[in-house]
Amino acid sequence: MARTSSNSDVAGRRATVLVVLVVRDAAPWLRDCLHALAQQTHKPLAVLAVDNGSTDGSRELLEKALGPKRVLALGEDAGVAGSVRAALELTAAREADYLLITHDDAALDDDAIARLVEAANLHGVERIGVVGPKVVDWDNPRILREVGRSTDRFGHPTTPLQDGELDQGQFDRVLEVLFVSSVAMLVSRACVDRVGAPDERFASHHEDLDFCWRARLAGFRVLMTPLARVRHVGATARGLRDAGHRERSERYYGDRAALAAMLTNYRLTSLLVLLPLYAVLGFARVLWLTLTRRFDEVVELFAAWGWNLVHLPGTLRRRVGAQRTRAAPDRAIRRFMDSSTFRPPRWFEAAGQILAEQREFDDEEAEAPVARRLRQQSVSLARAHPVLVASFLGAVLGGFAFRDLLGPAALAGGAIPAFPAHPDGFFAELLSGFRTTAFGGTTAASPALGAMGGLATLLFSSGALAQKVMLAGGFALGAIFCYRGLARRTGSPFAAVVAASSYALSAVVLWAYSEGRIGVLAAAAALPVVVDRLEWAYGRDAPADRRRFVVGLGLVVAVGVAFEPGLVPALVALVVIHAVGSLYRVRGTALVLGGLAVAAALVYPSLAGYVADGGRALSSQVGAADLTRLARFVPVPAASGLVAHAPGSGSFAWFLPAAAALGFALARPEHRASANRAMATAIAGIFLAWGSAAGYLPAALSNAPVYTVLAAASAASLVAFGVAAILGVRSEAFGFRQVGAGLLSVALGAGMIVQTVVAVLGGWAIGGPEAIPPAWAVAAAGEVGNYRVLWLGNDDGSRFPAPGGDPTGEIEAGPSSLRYGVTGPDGITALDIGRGPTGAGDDDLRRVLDEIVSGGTHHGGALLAPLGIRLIVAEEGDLPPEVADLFASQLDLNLRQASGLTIYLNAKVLPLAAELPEARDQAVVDASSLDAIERLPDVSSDPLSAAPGGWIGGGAGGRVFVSTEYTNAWRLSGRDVSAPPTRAFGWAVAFTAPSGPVRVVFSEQWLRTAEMSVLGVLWAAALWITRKPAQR
Amino acid sequence: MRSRGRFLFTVAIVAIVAFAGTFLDRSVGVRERGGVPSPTTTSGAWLCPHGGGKDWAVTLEIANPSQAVATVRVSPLGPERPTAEPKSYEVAPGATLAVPARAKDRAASSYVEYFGSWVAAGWVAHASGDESGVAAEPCVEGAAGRWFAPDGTSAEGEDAYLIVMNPFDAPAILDVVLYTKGRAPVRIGDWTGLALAPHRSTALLLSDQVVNEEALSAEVDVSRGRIAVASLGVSAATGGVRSAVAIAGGPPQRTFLPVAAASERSSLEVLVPGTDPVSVDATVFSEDVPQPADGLTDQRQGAQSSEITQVLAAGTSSFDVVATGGAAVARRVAGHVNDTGSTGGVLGPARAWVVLPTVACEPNVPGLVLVNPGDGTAEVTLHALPQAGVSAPPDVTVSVPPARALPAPQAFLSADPSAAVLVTATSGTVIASGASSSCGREGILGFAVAAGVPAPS
Repeated sequence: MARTSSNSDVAGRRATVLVVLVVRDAAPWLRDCLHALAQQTHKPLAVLAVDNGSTDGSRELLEKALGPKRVLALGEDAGVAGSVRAALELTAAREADYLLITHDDAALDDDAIARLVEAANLHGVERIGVVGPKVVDWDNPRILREVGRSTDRFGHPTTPLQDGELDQGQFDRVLEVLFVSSVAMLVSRACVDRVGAPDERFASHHEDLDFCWRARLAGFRVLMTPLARVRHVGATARGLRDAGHRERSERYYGDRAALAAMLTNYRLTSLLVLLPLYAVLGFARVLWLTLTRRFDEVVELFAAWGWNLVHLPGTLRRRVGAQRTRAAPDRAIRRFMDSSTFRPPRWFEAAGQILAEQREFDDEEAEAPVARRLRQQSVSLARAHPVLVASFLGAVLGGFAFRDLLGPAALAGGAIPAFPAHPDGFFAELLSGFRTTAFGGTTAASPALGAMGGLATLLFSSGALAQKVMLAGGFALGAIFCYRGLARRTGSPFAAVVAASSYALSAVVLWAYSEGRIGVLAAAAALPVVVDRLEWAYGRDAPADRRRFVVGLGLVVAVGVAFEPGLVPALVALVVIHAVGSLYRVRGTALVLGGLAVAAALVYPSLAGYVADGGRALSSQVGAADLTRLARFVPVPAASGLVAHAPGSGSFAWFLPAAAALGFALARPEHRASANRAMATAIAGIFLAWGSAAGYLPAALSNAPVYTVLAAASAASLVAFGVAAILGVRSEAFGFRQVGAGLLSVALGAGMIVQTVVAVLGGWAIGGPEAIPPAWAVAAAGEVGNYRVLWLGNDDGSRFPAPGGDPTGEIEAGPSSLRYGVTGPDGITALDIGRGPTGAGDDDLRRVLDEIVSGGTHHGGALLAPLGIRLIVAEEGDLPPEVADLFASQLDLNLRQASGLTIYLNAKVLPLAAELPEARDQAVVDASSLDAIERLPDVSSDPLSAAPGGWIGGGAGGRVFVSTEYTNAWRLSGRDVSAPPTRAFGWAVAFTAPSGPVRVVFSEQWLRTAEMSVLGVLWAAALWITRKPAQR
Repeated sequence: MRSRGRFLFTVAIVAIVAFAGTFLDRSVGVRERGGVPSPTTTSGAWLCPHGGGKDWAVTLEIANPSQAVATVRVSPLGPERPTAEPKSYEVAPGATLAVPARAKDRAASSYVEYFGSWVAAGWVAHASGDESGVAAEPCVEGAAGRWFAPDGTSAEGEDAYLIVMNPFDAPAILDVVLYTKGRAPVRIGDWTGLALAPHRSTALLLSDQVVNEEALSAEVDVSRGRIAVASLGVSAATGGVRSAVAIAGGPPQRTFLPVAAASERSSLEVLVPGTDPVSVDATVFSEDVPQPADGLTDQRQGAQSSEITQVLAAGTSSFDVVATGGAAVARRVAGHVNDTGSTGGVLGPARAWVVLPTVACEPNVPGLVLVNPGDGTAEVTLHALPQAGVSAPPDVTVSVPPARALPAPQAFLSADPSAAVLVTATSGTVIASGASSSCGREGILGFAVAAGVPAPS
């Protein structure tokens, strides 16, 4: 056959191609690979195999197939780059018109090389340096693996393909790309001569990126031709052979190559712009990976950066070479890069697929009425992509519902605590040896403060932003965790999505959000996870990695308890029900106890605070002793006065218990054991909430809101079981199940729609400054300095008007009882999240309130003075009349007029820390009996200023009084003096002070520092054990 | 379990839960509370808007009827911010302490705080120099938001004052309304929204605002803060002073106005502050059978008016004034000479009273009246609470027949006229009040009336 000139010709002759076959332990695929090379239609063709120390007989196979002279044995794994570099040492390689670099687990179609050479000689296209084929899956060639690749601006490789994307001809055109894979890469002689060999430092990891980038820099084009097709096993990536030197994750290699390629190939001016951005994004990535417990990947990222640092001299040398060959500006290369680092999430990419599905549906139902088509399309969409639909609706409706909360101002109102002005406030309190809130003492701050401080720091040191993120995050996490657990347990994402949505729309979750109750929202997020873990622990299939399970459970419990200690009694109820209602109670209980032990270790500095005073820290004073409200998961009484109505607590809140009952009835046999436990938990939660609110449970077990959350979470589980059961019910004969399915659909549909409308309409208790009663401005007007506020209210189970938060204690006051709470001048503070009100100061307050309520004293102001209580606030008409009369009759409490609030100003109040120079006043400090304290005269005092670690001030000498709980760790230091404390007013701290400036300091700070250091190590260990492993 | 069985099981559970819930909600309910803590302290305060004058001597009489020592802290108040520190005193159990008060200013007041045990406090004012006479009243135990002072006159030669004190740390804002017989209520611009600074007292001269009114009453409404109010009358025409603490709260339906050792003629001033007329009916209790009061038998008095009725009742007597709809009343009566005393009375009987001394100097004729408005005989024990260093006379027991007003035995009173008397009814309830003459050559120059103080059980 006569030869004719073609695209495969070079200078009027057929182009010579040398195949550089890079081999290492490839016996299973090597025959196919060699066979494919032997079948190539392009001639002349030579094959040079470079063996990288194979030990599985690959080398022998190569020598047998190609002959020993065509096998270059390196004796070690030099990777693709090293192999090519070695091959280029040979004369044959230097004489070939093209090099075809290919892997040992790739099989080229018969005409692949011919098509590659044709592409390399496309008419009208100059300087084609590199050509790659379309790479498809070895086993299923319909699946695309490579069609040319790109990077972002920072060199991170990207691909236009989705996982498992089918070859439907969508890439069937010659594409100019940034780089092609070394699975099969045809490189022209000119390109090799100009660019040199691939960077051997990369071995087989993204050496193709750097090489092609350098080729482009030198002015060569890089093409992908779909006419050439290569099947690829991806043996190393799929773990089909030993990784050899591949001992790190893909993240490491990707980031290593990306940064090195940037440093090598970008122009200096480009680097000056990109490197700072790279640093910022790198920091953000480290944060994200840390927050998502991908610690392995953080290590890999740092290792990649470290590698570049160590190899910087080599990189700079290569940079000099690359820039010397530069023939194209950076902007010409950037055309082939992705526009930014942002790559659409997969579910956005899936949107295209969904649209395609819907178009198909349209085509099929073209004749049907529009309304029917719309309905059927909606159902089909929701069932096929429930998470996507729920996420979309959640984002849109949530954004609309929370529209009023999106401003820059900090949230106020409801029961939301004030955040410190700066995140340092969280860390300072966490590490402080003494408590700076309430009445002081040494009760440790909750570890939750570390998380809150960290979050606030990340959010640009904005407490306002952190508040909103925590609220919205808590709300969303509850639904997400509920979904994840139920999806695993039911195997039905649709059912899990419906259940999670019903949970998010339950009255108690909406109430918690409306009120800004971060603790309850944390409990609402933690409980579904705990329930899921318990179901796992007590289920038939035990967790494979028990250590990880136990630590994971402990971690979740610790996080929940750190934010809401009241989770503990709910956990106890949950564990008891599972232990009783499971066949695997010994194993389950052992695992759970292990988890609880881990949790206890993770909050160990706070344990003493939890158990103090009968476990008051675990209790909540809010709650409705009304089973018709609790049964629909409304934990509080109806709105009254300044305490707003809880959105979603109306009659339609019955949708969840109704749906739960139906779900229980409909549950499939395989879910019935879980359903029984969920039903028992839901019922127990409701009755325990009632018992808490009605006052029948001890303090440590009284927490109506958390029990209600537990009941709602369990009800959501029942909903999931029910929905999972009815998904296939249409195929069964008509009966009870169909009726139940119909009722369940109606209950869920109507209930969730109405609850959604209620939520979207808003009406949240929290909001801007307007959410604080206007009267509060009157209360706070003119008051300077630091002081405490005593909030009083009746026992109807509701909170105080904002910003008073919840009652923290209760005293008997005749036919009713009086509830009280103490805050600082700004109301409740986030520094007290997860920390109870116990301590000697609180005991003293109770003693004083008892005395006032008893009617014995008319000098209540004097009795409250050492406690630093300047304002006493109650909602107008909220105090029991006999109690109101008693407070009104106190001679040293003066009513301050404010519509909506009853406010008393304590005329006798003492500063929180002060020096008392007058001899007359000094003796008063030593009084401990109420009889003596109520005789408190008008004290002349010189207030001390709060300073890190204590207080400073003074000068005249005398006695120094600090309104904080007594501990002998307090010291007063003055000029050449260090004085120990004495007990003031029976509970607080006093010193005899010399003249001159003095400083009151806490001398045992080291203890808390050590405690928190150990705690930090424990949390780090727990997080490390439960980390998400990096993909290798 | 088959579907049907499961459904029935579910229905059963729901029914049980509903039943249990209903039972708990309706039959069990919220845990009963009801305990009231026992007091471990006792404290309180007396507000004494006694007033004063250039040559006046005011004595605070503080009686401790209990078994424990009481500590009192006395703070003087006047129109300026007090500069003097409060002074503390101890009152022995079962004793009376006389504490001289600062009273050189018409607006002078005293604030008496007590600790340790309950005490009764009152004052005896002795005017001399350009003014003369004796006045006595118990102090006020609690501040209030509305006060009525029906004891006033702006007849020629009569000065009628209101002494208003604010011992608290917050300013008080008050409005004063004056009532007379024929005029509409009078509101004085300067006294509307009148601010009284903390720890101050003031004297408002009513008779300068509305002249020549036989009956001149005042209502004080407090819109902010707390105050105590008393009337103070100074008579240049007849010579004499009198004071009466104002009536706190709403105008009462029934008032008892006991007086002893007084002249025959009493002036009964009735203030109706409401917008509706009231019917006033008065009965005179004495050592004889009760008699209707002259001119005040089912008498209708117009709204927002203050009227005076002269009632004859010599010696020891008590008026029982019933005002349907509520009225503030006061009884003004002269002693043996020209000095008058007045009282706003008491609202009802009690088991125990402390009657504070009403004598200002020697010689004197102490008096104490016991009134039994009940239906049965009241057995009453009188126990003297002597001043330090004075031995107490033995207790005496008096039987007070129903609907009678009796004087206490003069021998018992005269044994220590400076002692307060603890009046305890061992059966029934009584009203006790003091009314004494003192000073002058025969001890009858000055006359003062002071209602007793109900003692806590």
